[in-house]
Order: sequence, then C-alpha cells, then structure tokens
Amino acid sequence: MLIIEIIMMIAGAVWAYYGLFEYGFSANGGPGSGFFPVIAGVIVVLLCALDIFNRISARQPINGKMKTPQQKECLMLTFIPSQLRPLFVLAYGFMGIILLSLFGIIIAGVLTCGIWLKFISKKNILQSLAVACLTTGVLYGVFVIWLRVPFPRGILF
Amino acid sequence: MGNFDLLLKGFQLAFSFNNLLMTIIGGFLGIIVGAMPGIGSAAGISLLLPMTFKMNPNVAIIMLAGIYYGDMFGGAYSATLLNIPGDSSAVCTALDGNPLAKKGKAGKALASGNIASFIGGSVGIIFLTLAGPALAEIGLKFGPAETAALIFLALTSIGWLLGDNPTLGLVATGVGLMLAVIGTDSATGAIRFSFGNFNLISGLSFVPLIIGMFGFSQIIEMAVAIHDIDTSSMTKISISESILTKDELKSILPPAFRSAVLGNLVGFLPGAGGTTSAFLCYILEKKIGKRGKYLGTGEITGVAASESANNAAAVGSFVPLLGLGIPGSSTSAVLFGGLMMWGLKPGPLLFETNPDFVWGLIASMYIGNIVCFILGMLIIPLLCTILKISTKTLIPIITVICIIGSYSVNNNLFDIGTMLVSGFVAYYFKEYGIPVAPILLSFVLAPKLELSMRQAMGISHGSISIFFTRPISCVILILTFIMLLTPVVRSFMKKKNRSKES
Repeated sequence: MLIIEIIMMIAGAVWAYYGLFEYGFSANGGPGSGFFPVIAGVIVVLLCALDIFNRISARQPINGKMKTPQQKECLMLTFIPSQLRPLFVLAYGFMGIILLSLFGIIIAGVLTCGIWLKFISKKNILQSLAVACLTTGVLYGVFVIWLRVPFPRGILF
Repeated sequence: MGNFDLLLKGFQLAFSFNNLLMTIIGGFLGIIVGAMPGIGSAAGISLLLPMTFKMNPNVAIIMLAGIYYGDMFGGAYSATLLNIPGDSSAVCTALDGNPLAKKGKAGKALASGNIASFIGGSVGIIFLTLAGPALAEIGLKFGPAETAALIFLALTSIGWLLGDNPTLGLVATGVGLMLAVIGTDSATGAIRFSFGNFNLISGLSFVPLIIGMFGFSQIIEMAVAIHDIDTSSMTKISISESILTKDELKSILPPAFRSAVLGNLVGFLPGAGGTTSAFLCYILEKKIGKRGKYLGTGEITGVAASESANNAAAVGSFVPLLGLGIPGSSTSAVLFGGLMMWGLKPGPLLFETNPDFVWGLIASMYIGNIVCFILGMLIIPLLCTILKISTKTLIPIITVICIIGSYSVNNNLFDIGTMLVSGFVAYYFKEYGIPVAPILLSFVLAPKLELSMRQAMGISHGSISIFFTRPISCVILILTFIMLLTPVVRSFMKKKNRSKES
C-alpha cells in the first residue's frame, strides 16, 4: 500500500511541477494550461500524505491488505509464485497484442484463447479448439464483417 | 410540444423494428451479464461499447441502457442459485435468495426478484420522465461557476460514498483528474503529459481505459482466485415452480414500492448506485417491514426490497446523467463516455437539442422493463445452463473480447496496451482498497470541470470569488464542504466517545 501511495505522490508532484513550470498556472489573467494539473497533482499528494499519516497514527499496518497465506493457493496459476500471478496475466495480454500484430485477428484470437484453455485451464485439445474457434468466429463476424474494423493483416489473414 | 407529446413521439421511435430489436437484445444480454458472477454492468457495457460505434446513437444507447437495467434483473440469479451476486448491487439479494433456494424455493425467490425489479424499474422510469426534464430546466440556468461547483460536489460525494476509506476514494478521484489532463489542452492547444509519445497527444482513450479497469482487472481477479464457482448445488427450475401465490404476491408489493421510491432517490446521488440503495432499502425493510425480523433467513420480502431498490437506482442514475450531464454511477459514467463518442453532449441542452434521442430512450425503457420482466421469467432454464460455465473457460474468452474491443476504437495497438496496463493497475488498486469507480467518474467529468472553471475564472478575471458570490454556486459549495467535513467530524466524535468510555 505504501509503495502505491508513494508512486501516486510522486506522480502528483510531477503533475504539479509540470503544471506550474512548464504549462503555466495562469495566462492572460485567467487559468492557464497548468492550472488544472496543479490542482489534480496537489490533491493526490496531500490526500496520499494524509492517508499515510492516518495509518501511522492509528497504528494500522502500513502495508494495508496484504496477501494471506491462504491466497498462495490458486485455482489455475499454481506453477507461478503468488506475487507474480497478476504479472503473468498481464504478460498473457501482451502476448495477445504480439500475436495480433504478427498473425492477424483469426490466428491471434484462436491462439490467445486456445493456449489458456489448453495449458492453464487444462481443457482437452478438442474443447479448447472448439471454444477458441467459436469465440474468434463470433468476434470476427461482429468486428470485421459487420463493423469493418481494419485489423492488422497477418501472415494468413 | 409538451413532455407527454414528446414521450408519445418517443414511443413511436421506440416501437420501430430496429429499436425494439435492440431493446430485446440489450435486455437479454443484460440479464446474462448480470447473472454471470463477477462481471457486472460496468464491465458488461464497457466490453460491448466498441460494438456500438457504428450504430445510430439512438439504437446504441437503447441497447446499452437495456444491458444496464437487464443486468439489475440478472444479478438476482447467481445471488439466489449460487450465493454469489452477479453484480455488487445483488449482495443483499443473496442474503435471502440463497436460503430460499436451499429450502427448495429458488423459483419463488427469482419470481419475487423479477416482479420487484419490474416495480423498481417502472417507478424509476416514471420519476425519470417527470424529474429529468425538470432537472434539465434547472440545469439550463446554470452558468460556468454553478456547473463547476456542481461537478465539484459530484466528485467529492463520489469519493465519500464509495469504500471504507473516504480519503482513498478522493485519492482515486484525483488520479482520474490527473489522467484526464493528458493530451492536448482544448483551450490553448498545449500538449500536456504526452512525454514525447504521439499516441498520447489526443489523450488517453476512454474505452480502452474502462475496458481495462472493469474488464481486464476482473480477469486478473478471476485468474488468481482460489476457488472456482461451485455450481454443484444448483438445481433446475421450471417456470411453473416460480409462480407466486396471491398472498406471496401481496407480501412483496409494499417492500417493492417502498424500496423503489427510496432506491430511486439514492440513485440520483453521484457514486451511490445500485449497491448503496439496495443496502439502505434492505436495512429499512429489516426495521419497518412486517416480516423484517425474519430477513436473512429466506424471506421473499428481503429479495423484493433489494431487487426493487437496485433497479430503481439504475434508472435513477439516468436523471442526473440526462438532466445535468453528471453520471450517477460508474455504469452511467460508461454511458456518458459513449454519448460523448457518438457526438452528443449529455446535459440540460440534450432535452432541447436532441429531444428524439432523449424521449426515444425514456420510452424504450418502459418497453425494456416489460421485456426484461418477461425474459427474466422465460430464460430461467437457459440461465441455469449459462451459470455453469466455469471461470476457467470465461477468462480467455473475455481476454480476447477485451483485446479486440480495445483495438477497434481507434484501430491502434497502443490502445490495447492502455487497456492492459490500466487493468493491471486497477487490480492492485482494488486489492489495496482504493475504489476504481471514482477514477472513471472524475475522468469523464474532468474536461467539463476544467472548462467551466476556466470560463468562470475568465469572467472574474482570475478571481475565485465568483464561486462564492453567485448564490447557487455558493450553496452547492457549502454543501460540498459539509460533505467533506462530515466524516472528519464523525471520526473526531467517535474518538472522543472512545476516550470517554476508556
């Protein structure tokens, strides 16, 4: 929790700094481009500081809601250390972007969906392929055929 | 033309084939999204928003509104059958719905929920028909100072109403304001916080941001969850089992109507939404209801109070959205973003500049409410099958929808990255008790707030006195300060009492 609040405080300070010294707090007798960023930044810095102070004065654990030992168990991602599981899902999402830019929507859709179903959800190959193809087919129909969204062209489609 | 004539014209529009079809599709999708545990209306609408870009705005908003109130109908199904609320607003429904299911009365619980949802929705729509235009007329009298003060009030109340820690709610509001200033300043043309990245020159895209915050963060939550949803206890329910007796029907009407009125009023408040109203009405029913002391043990009146309240609040949130341009809940903030993207400006002028749009939407709600009521009863067997889909299967499907939906907005891979990162950050925010909804609400309201503040201070030559010298804005600001100070005073009093006791 402390890390998140410190990161937000730094971001708030950057916003306030840029607002004051780069974009201009006031212009022509009225608020300038930096006026609103300064307000937003200062609000975040002050409130984060207040929350940290409140936690310290109330002697609450500064780490906030930390993972309990029970949460080390997991439904699917048991092969990954608990703290890295969210990062793994993020990486899986980025894999989807790479596949989309390399192979186009059809192969990327089937692979992104199928890989998770086969290897993480431990479904059999037929089930995985069926769900992946059906999902991609419906999305292809909606976005490519109906809405005519120009997706990146990959090797095959 | 009077409001009644405009409403009749709205019905003509709503009964056109396209609009009627979208009302049915929206209601159907809404019930399914609402019934699926953990997805929720905001995520459901966020995921479906990209599909509506090329639709006529009228047709699109009718479908999305259908999803919103359909979701409130659907939330009762998983709450009753699995003891897992499909949406947070159905938490109180689970308290009585699931014990009823365990007694073999799941059908009765769902029927009570459905009837109460219908009553809540109907009362809410009548309020919207009357209060929406009236509020818009008041809103037309607002100048920049009043508008800025009103948005300020909305932003501060959002922070206080959500979560256990009001300070963190306000931090989230501040983060939303910070994100909103990224991109080109519309007044001066200055490029802010792009840090050399040309993708950020036009600012952060709204749709990828919400898909990430509500959709992808949910995927991470589901992926790191300890247990899958236990559907083994779920029984098959037939429509005939769900028919209420005359006495049962009589018993749910008073709580349904009470909760409809209170829930609707709570729905007007920014940030309150269905969850707060359902809790308040459930507590009220426990205190004043004839069978209040039995609530929590499996009472259909408890289901009725909660379901009527969340539906009334969902419709209630459209009053400030359409009348003042202030979203009343995170889901209506998503709809607000959608309206902006279709080139419409939600607010008091909408009733004057786009009466067909507004009245068509309101009329479609009357029809949609009836459609959801009928669908809710008819698709019970189908919902029982859908609820058996495990999260293991849902995760990759929703991920692919998130990726493709985010890309389709601007045909830009950067938007998918925005979606993924915002989802990742939102996941940690939720983990540490920082509410995500205020980020979204302040993100959509910030441009209007900045513009109004600048205009007001331009009029007063840079002085902030304009906010205090104009009576309406002064009253709104006083209300804001009261709202800001109340929790501080309350915690001070608590501390004082504790020290006295010790």
